[in-house]
Amino acid sequence: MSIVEGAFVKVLFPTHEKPREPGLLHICYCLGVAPPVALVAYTATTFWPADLPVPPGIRIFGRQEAATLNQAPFVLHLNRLAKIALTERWLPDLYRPGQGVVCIAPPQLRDELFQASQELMRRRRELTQKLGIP
Amino acid sequence: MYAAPELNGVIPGPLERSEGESDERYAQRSALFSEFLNIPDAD
Repeated sequence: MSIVEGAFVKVLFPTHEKPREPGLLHICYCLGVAPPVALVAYTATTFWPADLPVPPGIRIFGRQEAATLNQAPFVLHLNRLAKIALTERWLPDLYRPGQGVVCIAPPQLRDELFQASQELMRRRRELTQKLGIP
Repeated sequence: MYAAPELNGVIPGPLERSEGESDERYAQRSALFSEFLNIPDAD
């Protein structure tokens, strides 16, 4: 397996405190690769209360679905992205077999997450007010 | 958007196409990828 769109891969995802530095090890979702850049979305194994509304960009993976992706239950945050370099500094297992890829999302899931990302960007455009000289 | 400082000023190559990806999907994904990369970096 290699780092491609749909890969769940181990990344030292930046923190709020140090947004431009490698941070804590997370399994992230790869939205795309354009060497030397990869765009990844944050995931965490936090519990999402059943009565809490799920905002746009959040995708919850329960036990069964997560198991098919070789993972424990997790929450994917498509609204929390990092532009990382394809280097060992960000991808600690880059030069190991498998490059730190835990699994590749099946095509149907890749399409779902791509469409969710498109929707997020559409909302962002709608919320952005452009003023001044056109 | 969190961004690696070593990518400042770096122009990425073309987006890698997924296996079996249609031209239409690839074009849409390339456009979205560019939009994402244009989101200002967090400081």
